[in-house]
Amino acid sequence: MTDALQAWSFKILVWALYVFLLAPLVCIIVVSFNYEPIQSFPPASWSLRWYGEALRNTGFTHGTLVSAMVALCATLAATPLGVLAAIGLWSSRSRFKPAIEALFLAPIVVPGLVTGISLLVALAAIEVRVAPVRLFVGHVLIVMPYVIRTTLASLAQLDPALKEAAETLGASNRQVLMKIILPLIRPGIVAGMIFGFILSFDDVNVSLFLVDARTTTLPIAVMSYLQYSFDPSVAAISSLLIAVTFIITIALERSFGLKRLFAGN
Amino acid sequence: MAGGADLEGTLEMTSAATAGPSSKAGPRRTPPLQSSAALAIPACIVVVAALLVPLAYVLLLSLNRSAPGVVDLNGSFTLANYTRFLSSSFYLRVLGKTVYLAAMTTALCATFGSILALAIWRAPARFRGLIIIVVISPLLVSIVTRTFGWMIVLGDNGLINTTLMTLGVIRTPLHLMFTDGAVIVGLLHVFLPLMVLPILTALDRIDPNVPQAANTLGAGRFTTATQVILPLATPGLVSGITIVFSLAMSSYITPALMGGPDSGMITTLIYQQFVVTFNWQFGAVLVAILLAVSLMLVGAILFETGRRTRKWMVRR
Amino acid sequence: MAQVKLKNVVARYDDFFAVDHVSLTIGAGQFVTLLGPSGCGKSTTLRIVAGLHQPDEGVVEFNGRDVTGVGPAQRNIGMVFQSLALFPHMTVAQNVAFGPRMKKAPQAEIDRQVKRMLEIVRLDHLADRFPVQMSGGQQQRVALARALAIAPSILILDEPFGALDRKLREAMQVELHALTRQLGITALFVTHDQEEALMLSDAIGVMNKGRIEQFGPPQEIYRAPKTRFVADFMGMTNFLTGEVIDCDASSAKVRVGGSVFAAPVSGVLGRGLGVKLAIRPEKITVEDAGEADAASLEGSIRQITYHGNASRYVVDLPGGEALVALQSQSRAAELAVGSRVRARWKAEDISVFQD
Repeated sequence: MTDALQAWSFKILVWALYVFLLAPLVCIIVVSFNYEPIQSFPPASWSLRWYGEALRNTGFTHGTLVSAMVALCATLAATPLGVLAAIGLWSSRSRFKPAIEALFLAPIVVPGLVTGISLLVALAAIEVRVAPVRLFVGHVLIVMPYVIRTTLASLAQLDPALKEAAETLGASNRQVLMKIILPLIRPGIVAGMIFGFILSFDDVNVSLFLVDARTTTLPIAVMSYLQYSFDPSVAAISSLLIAVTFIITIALERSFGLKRLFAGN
Repeated sequence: MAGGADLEGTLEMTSAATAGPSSKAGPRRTPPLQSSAALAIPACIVVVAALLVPLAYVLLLSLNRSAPGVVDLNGSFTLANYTRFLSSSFYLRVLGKTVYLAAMTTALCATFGSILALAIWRAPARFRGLIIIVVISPLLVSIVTRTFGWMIVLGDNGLINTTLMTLGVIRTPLHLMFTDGAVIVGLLHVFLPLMVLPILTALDRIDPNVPQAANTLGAGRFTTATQVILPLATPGLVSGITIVFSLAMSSYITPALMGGPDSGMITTLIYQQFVVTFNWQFGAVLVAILLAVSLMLVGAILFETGRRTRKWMVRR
Repeated sequence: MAQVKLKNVVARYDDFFAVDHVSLTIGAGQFVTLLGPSGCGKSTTLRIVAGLHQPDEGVVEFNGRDVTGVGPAQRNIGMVFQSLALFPHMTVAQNVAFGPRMKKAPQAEIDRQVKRMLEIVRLDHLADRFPVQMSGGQQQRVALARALAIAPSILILDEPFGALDRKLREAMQVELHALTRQLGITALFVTHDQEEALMLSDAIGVMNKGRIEQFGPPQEIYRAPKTRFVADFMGMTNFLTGEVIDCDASSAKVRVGGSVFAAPVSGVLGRGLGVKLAIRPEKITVEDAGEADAASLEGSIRQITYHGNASRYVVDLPGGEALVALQSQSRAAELAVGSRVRARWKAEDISVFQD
């Protein structure tokens, strides 16, 4: 195969993959403007009515509120825990270090389904059957590993000589932490928080077993809605979420660079 | 190296602790930042309490006698539930199908993920951020949204069928949803980013002169990519494969929605046990077996690649 | 072995010329070095010869054949990179075999070639080792063997010894010199180290800001620099401001301060012309100031540093300029900082450049 032919077939394949990645999302956005109640593609006529329908749907609005609250609380709790853990790991030379790193990787590696089930069962055994509490604990587990990973990635880029220079200039441990380390790793922390928030908001696997009839998250509300009703209001609410998520992500990529979230072990 | 530093750290901690109200002339020595692995303890407690303990609980539950509706552990120890699973051809087939679908997805993901990673790696810097966003876009939207989108693409009135019918290629719609293929497509879509990013990180660690050297020695693009670049990206490939395989084995929503209730994945059974029949004990068995099979296969992959790359891999 | 020609080659980034109309001929079997500071365009020129960079203008010829549009794989070049770029996941033997394998040579032929190459660089006993298991010098030799295994038309080396410590670098320079002469191979070498260039080359091209300022045999570059930049780069680091008093076709009289000096020139310079006299530190003699002398400069010592085989003296001259002289201890035992001294040199050791 000549070099030019190789180059062209590679290019075509790559673009086909881009289309593959974006196709479902683009279709959702297109369908959300459909006038008809059926999700035909392409739409026969255009309308914004389903956006209104979606925003009027109490299941959706309630779900959004719950998802946002849970994500917010989980992120706020997971961040201090995660940042301290990352700093502790980074500055430690203990022989337990690899074990602790593996421990923090566990929530990502253990399937979300299993995490949710285990939490449900264990909390039920100690008589905790309140959905918000279950959701909160489960979502802290979702967010924390990402905060730890991005903070560690930021710390890895920190020149250790900076810490030593500060120490030789008379700074105490606390001052080194507050004035040197934290300001420099702030982008990493923020990136982890934002990404963790997004994943928590969108989560289904863990939440599936932790919700109940009164308290449910948006993705699960949408899923329930889909089971008996198949109209474009689902597309509308999904499109809104896609738009918001993309804007946040583009901002994240510009300032931090998202590749570091998924560095291999 | 670790042993010596550890001792040093311990000595310093001890001497600082026992120094007491200082009778020495100089300022008292504060413990170095090195000994603050303790900072990680709260997070460790959270993970252990919220994940490991419940997981252990569930695994223990699998050894209890089956009692629908009962969640508490009791003293009964039995392997009856395990026997029930292992002696049933139905359950074993389900397990086999799950492994098969996960393996297919992982293989396709590795192939296409490598291609995407190479594309990003060679792209001019100004496009890189944009392409990465496109690549991780599936992760950013809820799994429900993703699956819903695929329903629109693959459905009987969906994008593919409408296009093919308008072009006159087919006359009746192809039933693409609720097939094994649909499940693989759905899983592939969400796992591609998780494969691409570790491979990309590994590629970035390769000396850019190395592929150029291959080029000067007469290697074409394909040869350079397969014989030089990708072998050097093995750590990333392995990382991606293990993550994708584990997640594929344990995915529930996508197979359920894309493949329908007869998708034949073990996770569907798990859901049924916990939410429909309330047989927590048997459900726990399914969870345990799922975890065990995943971990064994992942362990095998890691062991084999470790063995092959040990001699030349420079670990950072 | 190929003869390589560059004709008016240009590499441009917007308005900036990385390579500015460079023309060069590397004769078959000749060892040519491109020498210059960072950013002078030598590496870009080298990559153009290798085919790794497409020139915006100009022509690259191998044995008279235009290869400007041809990629590296088809030019049959052997390249040694600064970072060596050995394939970490292949053994030494597999690294060296890679080139012949890409040419689809029969296996027996490949094995023979690999064996021969490894014997030449004396690594045949390490054929099954991986690069990570070898020392820096051994890795260098693997890179060389790999480049030579395809019997290239030209061996191209991009500052290969830059990262080595001094002793190893000298050993590798000697080895490269012997190897290229033994094989009679055409070579293009890039470095910023003038000693390395002088030692290895049949011809040197001194580059500055994308242009070749002077091209010629090492002796000529060293003794008769044509421009101020080349003189300075090759170690003639003293530049004294002067004025031409008298001049004929081969010699000029130049006044510096209160003294007049004779200097060789290659053409007539006008009277009153402002010039710079350039001279090497090691060609200046510094001694205690005795009586006034029209053929020397008087000054006082500002700084003395010790360099083992010689000491370096910085001498302040009246008029604000300073001289740096390098001479051995025995010559000037009583000289100390602050001493008044006299600096002398031979007329034939000066070069004159227009200001």
